[in-house]
Amino acid sequence: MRKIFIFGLLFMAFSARSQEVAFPKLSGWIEDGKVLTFNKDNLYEHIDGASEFYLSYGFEMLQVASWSNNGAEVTIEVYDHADPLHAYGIYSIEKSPKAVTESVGLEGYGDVSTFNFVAGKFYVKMNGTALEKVPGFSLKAVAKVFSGTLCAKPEYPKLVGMFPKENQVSNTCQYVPNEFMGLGFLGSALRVKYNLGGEEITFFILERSDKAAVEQIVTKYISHADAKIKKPAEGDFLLKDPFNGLVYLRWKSNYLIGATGFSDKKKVGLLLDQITQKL
Amino acid sequence: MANTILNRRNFLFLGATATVGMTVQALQASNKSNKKEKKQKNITYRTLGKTGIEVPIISMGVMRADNPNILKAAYELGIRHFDTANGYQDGRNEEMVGQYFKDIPRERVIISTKIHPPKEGLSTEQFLEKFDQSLKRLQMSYVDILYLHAASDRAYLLDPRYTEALRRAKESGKARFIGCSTHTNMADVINTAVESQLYDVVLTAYNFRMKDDSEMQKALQRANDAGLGILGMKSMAGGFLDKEKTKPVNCKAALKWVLSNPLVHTCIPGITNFDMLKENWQVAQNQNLNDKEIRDLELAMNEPGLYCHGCLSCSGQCPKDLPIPDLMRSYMYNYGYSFPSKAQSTVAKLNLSVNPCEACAGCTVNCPNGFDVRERITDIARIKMVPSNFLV
Repeated sequence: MRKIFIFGLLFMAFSARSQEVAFPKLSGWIEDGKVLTFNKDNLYEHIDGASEFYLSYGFEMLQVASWSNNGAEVTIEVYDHADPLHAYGIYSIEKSPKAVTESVGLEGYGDVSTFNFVAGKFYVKMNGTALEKVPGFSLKAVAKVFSGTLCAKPEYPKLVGMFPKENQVSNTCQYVPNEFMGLGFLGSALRVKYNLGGEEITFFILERSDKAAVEQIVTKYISHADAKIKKPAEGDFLLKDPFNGLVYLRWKSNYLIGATGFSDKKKVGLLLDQITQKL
Repeated sequence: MANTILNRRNFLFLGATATVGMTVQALQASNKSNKKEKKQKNITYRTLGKTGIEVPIISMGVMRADNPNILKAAYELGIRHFDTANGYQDGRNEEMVGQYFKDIPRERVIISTKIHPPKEGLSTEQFLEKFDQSLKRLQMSYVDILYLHAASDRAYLLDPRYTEALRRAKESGKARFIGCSTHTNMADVINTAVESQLYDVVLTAYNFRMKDDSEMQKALQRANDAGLGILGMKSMAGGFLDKEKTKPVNCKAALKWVLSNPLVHTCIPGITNFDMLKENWQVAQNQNLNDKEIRDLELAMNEPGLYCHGCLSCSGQCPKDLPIPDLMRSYMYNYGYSFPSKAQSTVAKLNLSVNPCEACAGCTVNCPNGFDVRERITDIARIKMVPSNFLV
């Protein structure tokens, strides 16, 4: 029994993905007590109902540290999202459409009193108050150093590179981990908005482990849209989704790419071709 | 039962009907903005206490939705109350709500948002600044309900900085009504809200796991008697009963259970997909639990689950004075959170033997959540023997 118990614990030890992070040393600042830790089941104690959204992005653990200095305060929240894709996902969803991003960690943005960035599997939110009382202090400068300790070489998720940069609407590249477009069978997807001739059109891509998995999705979507297609084959589909409007789908191998929000299907073809070439 | 099922065709028909109705209503709204919207015959409506707000018993928690088409479908179906918060998706959630509803006559929907002061607190002015930020994101001049978010004790609920902010928000007309939300120590919070004579509504966690919680039932009754509106949340009790997530809660049954209590006026399930929307809306038509749903809930109620609710009712029960709440929490850290190092450090601080229950033939500690306390202690106490470098 004892062996089984220890084996169970060891298994959990290696399979558990949360890790404690080494918070930065802020010279001249006083650390405010202990690092607070929140897990899947008590995250709500820190961020309330927002916790459910974080859990859908593979949230594992939150660590919160605070400092004070001459009336100024800094709080750093480190959200561990188990893998870089989910960390990028929650960051991308929360990113302000007006954000001016910078190369901090993988990517970050902020102003004098906030700075958010993503680095590896960590999504970091930094907040400060009365920072003007500490001349020369900058959250971004702290973020630059701290991000390197969290992940030395952060990389964008592979699918991000599939989307051409030209005509992309800023800050609209987002990873949705499940129920994409409100449809359970679609699962996860990466989406990007493009401005094509004055019209904002959303393009998306789903990657699955094999062709059969995509075939299953296409079959379900055809059924959902009541389309008259008996046996789908790789290629293009134009479906009338009862909830999401006209949807253009292109199935190629283990990928499904597509577009929504367009008035003319001719507008989407060129960009879909460009994405297809990168698959 | 068959005639209550909202199949896809009916759903679309309802949507189309509602859309036509909405267009007509939108045209009329400019001239007769106070004209009351016609209720759907087959839907159960309830009134949020003295606020007079009458809504379908199914409302929508928007917090996890990231597709405005779900809002559209929900509205077209007949849902009228939508709940968001200043903090959801760092403000993007309020923006999405604002973006969709900016073209809908404002008086047709009941919009709520919530402000949660951080640990270090907010001044009245800072609270109101956050609220103004919410209004801006929502593209609205007012919300119907402004909540003080996540109240768990009397001091927070009655903090003069926040009560003053809520009063000012209401007096200015930026919030028609004010409330508090709670998912910890709910009965006390509700009772305090009643006594305060400040709050109009309470948004509370409430689910089938509280069937024997007489304090909660009394608090709900008291709130109703005082004219407070009661909105339910967390009706699915986490959605799963086990750590492997192999035992899902029958969500429809769980929602019916909550709404079969007339003291709860509406629920705000978090809706993230169209199937969920349709399923939840069926409950607005029929709250009667069928045999299978009753069985599913009975099974779920008998499932102890992993999570210690921290009620402390086990405290002081052990004849050996074992710190039962700490040990149950440690068990939860290990098996519920997959966080054995935290479990080990918690157990280590207790200075217990490897088998603290060995002197007792049986266990007299009674956990209202149904935990086998002795079994869990015997299991978790041994974690102190595992080398810490093996633990995460």
